[in-house]
Amino acid sequence: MSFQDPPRHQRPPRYPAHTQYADGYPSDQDTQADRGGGNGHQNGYQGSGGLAGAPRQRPPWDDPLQPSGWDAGGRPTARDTGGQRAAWNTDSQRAVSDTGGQRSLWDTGSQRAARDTGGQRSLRNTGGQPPAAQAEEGLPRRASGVFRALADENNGWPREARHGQRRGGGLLVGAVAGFLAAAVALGVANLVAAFVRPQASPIIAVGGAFIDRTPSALKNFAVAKFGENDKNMLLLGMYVTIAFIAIAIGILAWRRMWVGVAGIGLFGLFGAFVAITRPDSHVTDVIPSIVGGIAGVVAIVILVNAAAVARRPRYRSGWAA
Amino acid sequence: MTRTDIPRTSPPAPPPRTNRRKFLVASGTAAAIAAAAGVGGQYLQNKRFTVNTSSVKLGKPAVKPPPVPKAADITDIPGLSSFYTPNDHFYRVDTALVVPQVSPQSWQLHIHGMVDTPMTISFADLMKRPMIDHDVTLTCVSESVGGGYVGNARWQGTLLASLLKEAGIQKGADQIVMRDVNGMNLGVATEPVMDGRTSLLAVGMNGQPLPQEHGFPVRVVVPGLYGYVSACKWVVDMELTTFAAFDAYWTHRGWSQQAPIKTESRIDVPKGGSTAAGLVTIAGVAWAQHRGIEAVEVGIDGTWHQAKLASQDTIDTWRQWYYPWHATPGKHTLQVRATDKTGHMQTAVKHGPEPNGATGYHTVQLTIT
Repeated sequence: MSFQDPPRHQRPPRYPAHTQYADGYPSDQDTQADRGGGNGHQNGYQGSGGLAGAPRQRPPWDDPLQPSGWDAGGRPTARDTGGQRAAWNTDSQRAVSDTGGQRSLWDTGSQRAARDTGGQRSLRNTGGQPPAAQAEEGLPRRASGVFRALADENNGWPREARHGQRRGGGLLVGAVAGFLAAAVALGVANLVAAFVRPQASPIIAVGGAFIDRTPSALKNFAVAKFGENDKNMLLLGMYVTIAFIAIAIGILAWRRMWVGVAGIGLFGLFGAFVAITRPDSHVTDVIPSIVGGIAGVVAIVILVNAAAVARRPRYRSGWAA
Repeated sequence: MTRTDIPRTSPPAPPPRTNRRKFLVASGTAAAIAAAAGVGGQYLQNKRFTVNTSSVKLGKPAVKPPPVPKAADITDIPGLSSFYTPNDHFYRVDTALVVPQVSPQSWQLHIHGMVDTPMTISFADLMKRPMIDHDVTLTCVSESVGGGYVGNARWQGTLLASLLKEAGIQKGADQIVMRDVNGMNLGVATEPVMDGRTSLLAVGMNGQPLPQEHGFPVRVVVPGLYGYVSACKWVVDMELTTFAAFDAYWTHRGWSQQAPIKTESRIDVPKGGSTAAGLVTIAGVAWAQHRGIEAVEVGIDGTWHQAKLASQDTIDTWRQWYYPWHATPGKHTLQVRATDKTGHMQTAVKHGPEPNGATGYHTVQLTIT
């Protein structure tokens, strides 16, 4: 059936022109009907789904003038997108997929699902569908603002799609990225400390602060257990602890880059704070921690970005072929 | 052509989840940078900051100690601690994560607080002062019974008391707060430092300049006090104050303000386990610094025997002891107890190091086969 689908430019728009909406794209109220469990289809858009008294826009799929065969007929083929789409398909979409075969990339399953099955979860509720994408092929995009930026940033993919790609294999990649970023931070800090003074190295400063704050029970245990190796054991314990925290930061950074930047950055700031508050500290003692922290932030950004799948989705190359 | 003209075939392979090659390259680079910076930084730190201790030349002491009696150092019992502990085997307990590196050229000691004339003394000034050689056994308060935080050395230095007299200690200054180059502080009572014992600002240890781990270029040695209330390494600052006005580092953490070393003794050999029957030499060391060891007794299954003592060097050092024992097969319990020259016998009450030193008899379980 898809072979009989009309070309996209012949397909009627699913939304009225964007200018019809005050701010360029459908508002919450405009789309209430879509969320209300098939409400739009069963009872019309004036049913129970909307806010009382709020002005309503008639959703296009409730348009009685809409040809009934639009649903099946309005789907263009999208040959190259199948695999990638799987990453963000929701069940409702898949359900439609199973019955309806191919769809437009930007068709929300919910629209159709609402019509076809009378009430499935709406993908739109999960947010982030750029109205820009709803512009028909060949028509100028009218969306602007953050949605447009989002759409552009993702090369026309919804946000979820990229996150889906990032999610895969993220545990190991994130762990490695976090671990190495911390290693870079400590290594660079140690190098810089060679030009300040060894005590300004964050690991030494924090270790010294830890010694000063060690409860006597723990200190006695360490002295009894490790004897004169207590300092080496402390350093080992610190490295292991830092490694675990860094791995956690890295795993989070894989999903949310700012967590990595903030996490590693806070590490550096913490080292600087401890170094400057040590007895007999110099102002310059903050330098190794700061420089190390910056190096670590740069490292985690580069590492996470290096692992991310190239931003340009594959279907583009399919187009070109 | 338009998209619609492309017939649908099988779904394409899913895109790679991560950009593996790019990530591997980036990871390798990051690891290399981290390793190079870390190792290089350590190398540079050592190169730039390590101070050469051999720049200090120890002179002839102005006051020569009486010769150590030959019999003070028993050397023919394997496993027994030597009278002098070699520098590289001397225990090290401090809070410095990296060994401070202080060059003698930049070293200065400030004496201030409750003194008539605050002083600043350079290393060259210090070396011009009369030097004294003195044997002192140091003990750490963390030493558990039978432990290893005790060592004996010949220290060379100048009398701390005479320097403080020049500064003029004011009435009521009952504590000297000593600070090292890292800002670590130890508080010592003024009274024992000034009571005539050989308290030193030491620059030499066993005929060598102080090793870096032991406080190069200058440390404090006060006979008879645990290290945490006296033996400040890398010392650069002395403030005369009162115990009421300042809690020193360890006092703040629950340890006693003042802590004379307790009379203690240790069995070095046999270590325990099992030994063949026959003549077994039980040997070890006993210490009661600045009181001196009078007697040592060895307990074998509850019966106490007088041990033979090495000759007394000074009352500030430990004494070796030994007891030849004709061992019979079976399980045995060996114990040791010392009596100092004030007549005080070490207590059998078991107590941990906190707050002012461990007590109890060192006990060794032994099976003779």
